[in-house]
Amino acid sequence: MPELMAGNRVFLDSAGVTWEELASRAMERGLGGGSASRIPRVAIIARDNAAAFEAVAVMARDRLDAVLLGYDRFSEGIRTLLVGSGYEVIEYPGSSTIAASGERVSNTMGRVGLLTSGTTGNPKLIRHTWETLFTVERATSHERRCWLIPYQVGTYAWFQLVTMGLFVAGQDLVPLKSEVSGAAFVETVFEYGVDCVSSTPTLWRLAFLEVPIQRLEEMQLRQITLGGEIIDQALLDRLRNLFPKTRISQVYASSEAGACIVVQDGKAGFPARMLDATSANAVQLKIQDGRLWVRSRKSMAAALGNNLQWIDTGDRVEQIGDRVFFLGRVEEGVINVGGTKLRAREIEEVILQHPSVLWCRVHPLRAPLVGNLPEADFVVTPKCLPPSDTELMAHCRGRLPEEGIPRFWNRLDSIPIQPSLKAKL
Amino acid sequence: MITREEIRELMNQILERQGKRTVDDEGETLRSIGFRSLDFSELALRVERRIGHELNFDASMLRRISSVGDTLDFFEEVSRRA
Repeated sequence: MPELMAGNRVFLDSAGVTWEELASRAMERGLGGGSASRIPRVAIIARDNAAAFEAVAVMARDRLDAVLLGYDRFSEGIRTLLVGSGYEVIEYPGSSTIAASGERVSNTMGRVGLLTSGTTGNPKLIRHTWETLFTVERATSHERRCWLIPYQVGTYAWFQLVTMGLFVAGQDLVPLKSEVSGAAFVETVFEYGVDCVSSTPTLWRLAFLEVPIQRLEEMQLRQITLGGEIIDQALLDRLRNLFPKTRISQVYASSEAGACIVVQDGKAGFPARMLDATSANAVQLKIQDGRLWVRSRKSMAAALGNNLQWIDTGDRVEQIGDRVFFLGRVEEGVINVGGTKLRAREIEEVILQHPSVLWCRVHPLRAPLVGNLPEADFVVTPKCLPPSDTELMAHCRGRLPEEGIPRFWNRLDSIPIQPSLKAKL
Repeated sequence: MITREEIRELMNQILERQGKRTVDDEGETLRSIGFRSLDFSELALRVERRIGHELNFDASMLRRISSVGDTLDFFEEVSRRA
């Protein structure tokens, strides 16, 4: 297990508190304190951000076999899943404590369970180790950094940042201070002197929507990391123009496959040469039937000792020349317009190239004669005149086949965001 | 309920948004004004949205449609029945 950086801080308030102090607080509140010979197997349901960071401090220090979950994601269905998987469920802080509880004992130290978001079905329990969750060691300069951690507690993205805070010297963390919004994100950056931001593209779009551009320009960012959703060229260009000196990284990761791809060249997709990696590399990629497959030393399979297993990511990709582009989830299906099959993502990519469009999503509308017609919801970039349907259709013409041009356009006031920081599709 | 004039207006909006000329002459053929099956399908959806009901018709009814007037007749009739 990597060495703990007990002095790194988490800014739950303006003073900040070290991991060591967080673990002590957890002890005082009844979490931790089991004997060294008895490793509890627990699922900790954290009632708030402070509880989550206290819990993870104990999980790492005592190498518990544990799942950590925010209370907002907890339900009776999840409880059943966790109990059925052999975990004792503890709500923290609460009446139950690890020290007092007794039944579930593990023989696997330092195993970390996390639940997938369940956006494509029921949530699944994924088991990692601290070693497989910790993927950023080579990408970090070890200079003092202050990272915004806006993700939901216990998700893979959250653990990516937490492991950096736990195991890389000088990396402090700042959770989002209120409910998810672009304004809250930017204000947290200013209030705590955040200089590194990891988030989804949607959170950035909300910031563009809710915060004046002059205010955004004032942010002194050294690092922007994007992930969790397809990253389009228009957003990359927008960020590059706003932050010309900031390092901008695109990370492709999933709970099952781990963090697999990091790109920093400012272009959408990833270089096709990454497909040439051999088994000597930490990550291998291949395209099979239009889907991306991954073999990684940081995957959940690797956590179980199987480095060689290929994992189907469920993401559609297409190689065009020397670049590979993401097209969306396999299960997202196609829009069939009179026999012409189109992916919503292809249409969205074109719409997003319009300078006045900040965000869009395309979905099929059942229609007589042709089966479906594409319909688009969109949000306009602040201070831009809302484009008319005619203008948007003219923009799409020549860039899309006739069947792919949306016939119905709905202008939304804001981007519908989920707690996962991804846009609702 | 939707009037013939309103249907014509919807039809012209569809043409206009594609940069095509609008029509007054009901004798013009759909082919000559570039009104294609995608446009017909869109018009059906817009009529449905306007009247708040789904339109029911079978494909055989469409075979006799070749002009602007036929189209207006068709949508008047099926929307009355909806």
